[in-house]
Order: sequence, then structure tokens, then C-alpha cells
Amino acid sequence: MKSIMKLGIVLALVAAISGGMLSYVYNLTNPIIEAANLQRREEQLTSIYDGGEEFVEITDYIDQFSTITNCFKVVKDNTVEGYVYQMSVNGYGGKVTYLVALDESGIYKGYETIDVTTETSGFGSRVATDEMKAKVIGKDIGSKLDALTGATITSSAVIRGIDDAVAHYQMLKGGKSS
Amino acid sequence: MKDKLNIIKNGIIKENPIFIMLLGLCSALAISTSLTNAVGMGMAVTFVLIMSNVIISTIRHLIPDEIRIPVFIVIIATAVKCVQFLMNAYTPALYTSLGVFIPLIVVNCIILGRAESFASKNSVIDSLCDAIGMGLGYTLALLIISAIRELIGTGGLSFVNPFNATQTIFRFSFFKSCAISLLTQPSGAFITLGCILAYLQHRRLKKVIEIQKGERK
Repeated sequence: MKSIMKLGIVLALVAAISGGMLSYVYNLTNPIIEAANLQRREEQLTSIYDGGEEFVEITDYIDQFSTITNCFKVVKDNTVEGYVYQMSVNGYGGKVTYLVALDESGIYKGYETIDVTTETSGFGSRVATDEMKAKVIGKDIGSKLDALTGATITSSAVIRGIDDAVAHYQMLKGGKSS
Repeated sequence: MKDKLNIIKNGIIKENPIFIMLLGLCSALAISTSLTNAVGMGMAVTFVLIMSNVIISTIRHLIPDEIRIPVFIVIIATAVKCVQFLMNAYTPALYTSLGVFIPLIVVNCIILGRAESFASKNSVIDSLCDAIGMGLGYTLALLIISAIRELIGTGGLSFVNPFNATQTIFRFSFFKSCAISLLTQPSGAFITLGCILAYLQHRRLKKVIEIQKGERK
């Protein structure tokens, strides 16, 4: 009985010290990671929608879609040019986050991944390459998007996310006309 | 001093974790597609090895024998998570390209293997030397595999500063039109490793045969 207590205490102690150390490193690095992510997102928003001058975050209907994390209205010269969605879907290994842009006429204007580190390098990670971009950009929102052979799970998840973005986009449009 | 150097040399050549002990092959085969990845992964594994070996050998007398494995795992997991945070903060490009293989260092058998077979029985300085040797041996093996794969698979060699993805240190392209892209695939990793191991085995056998001949005379 005594030895079990001792073992438990040693293990708990080791775990506690490890936890403390981790939280220290986390606090040290988290601001840098956050700042880098924010800056990267800003760069991506402008790169995905060239010509966009201002990105206004909108929250209408967002809570109906679990995959949409953020939605930005792209404004240029006081008119709405299109929308950029930040999506987060379940890939093969975990969350895949990416941006997809739709313009006012209903064409996929851009596609850019933010984080695919959960996916297997060389397989699921291919959704981050130009290969996937070519399947999305320039297509009409009504057309069917093809998954990538060999990376089916990740790319189909990405495409389902894009479908959600389209559904939300149409809700926004419908809401406006009524 | 000499025995410390011997420990380091032992890890790099005589007991090379990849080529001789065949440990930790999963991540080694998966990420050895480019020199940059190899250096990044090598650094991450070396760092984790040093941290875990030093900590474990420091507290080796305090850990009860019955729970040494769980304690090792907690220490290794902590070290890996630290590396993951640091890489995400300071080498974001490398963090993205190594992907899931950084957290997978936790289950890399080189690290637990060295903790169990070396650090838990030897002094702190010896364990540090062992970690450096094993880490360098791992990095060297990755560099050899990835150099072959990148050269044949893409027809050139390139190396990007792991800490700054925009800074290319060198980039050559020799025969891009007749590159064999199979070598960049996972199956290419197996073929490359198989050839290297066959060559090493051939050399070793030759040595053994020579020794036997010498004995017969």
C-alpha cells in the first residue's frame, strides 16, 4: 500500500513539473505564434483577393455552419466585391484550416490553405498545393468540385467545407433580396 | 575525454540509429524528401534526445524502477511538446513541412530506446554525449537518404535556411527533365534505404570474410 502511494506521488510530481514547464514554454511562444498567424492571415486575405481594399468581418448565419470560422466581406470603393471564408474542417489527422474566396458573380476567386500540419506529408498535405487550387479557382459555384486522387479524405472534407461556404453565401444573398 | 568522444562516435557510426540499429524509421523515411526537412527533423530529434537523456540520467536514482517507463514517456512528451511550440514560433515553414512528424517524435523508438538502455544506467555527461552522438547519427543518416532522394527524385539539390524560409542557401538543378519522381514518394524512401543497407552489409561481410581468411592462414 505504502509503495503504491509512493509510486503515485512520484508520477504525479513528474507530471506536475512537466505541466508547469509546458505552460511556461507555451506562454513564452504563444504570443509569437499568434502574431505570426495573424500576420499571415492578413497577407493571405490580401493575396487571395487582390483588389480587395477592406475586409469586414460578418457574423450573420455563421453559427449555422460548424465549419465556418470567419467570414469577411470584401469591400472596394464602398461596394461589396465578394466574400472570403475562413474554414476549418476535419481532415484525415485533424483540423485543416483554409481560406476560400467567392466573388459577387458566384465564381471561386481564390483558395489558400492556412494550416495542414495535421495531414500526412505528401498525401493529405496535397490540398495545400497548386494541384488543389487548380480544381477550385475559376469554377462556378454551381459546378461539382473533384477530390484529389490519393488524398481523398482530406480533399473531400475541404470540398464539403467549400459547399458550406457556398450555402452560407447563398443565404447572405437571399437575405439581401428579400 | 577520449571515452566521451568514443560515445559520440559510437552513435554516429558504429551504432548509427538508422543504418545499424534500424530505429525510428517511420519518420525518417517519411520526411527525408529534402535536405531542409532532414536538417530540421535532425535538429528536433537531437534536441529532444539531449533533453530527455540529460533529465532522465539526472533523476535516474530518484525514479522507482516500477514506473520508470511512464516517467520516461512523460519527460519525452514534455520535451517534444516544447520543441513543437518552439518550432511553431521560430521556424513556421519547417513546422508546416514536417507536419505531424514533430509530435510523432514522442513515439520515436530512438528516444525511448536511448533513455531505457543508456541514460537510465549512465552518468549525466555520458548520457549527454550519447544523445549528441545519436542525434548527429540520425541527422547524418537523414541527410544521406534525403540527398539521394532529392537528387534523383527532383534532379537537383536545394537547401533553405530552416529559420527563415525566404533565405535559400543553395539551389542546384542538374537533370530536371529526367528526374525519377518515384524517389520522392514513400516507396522511394524504402528503395533508397534498402540500397544503402545492402551496401553497408556488403562492406561488413567483406570485412568478416577477410578476417576469417586471415585466421585460416
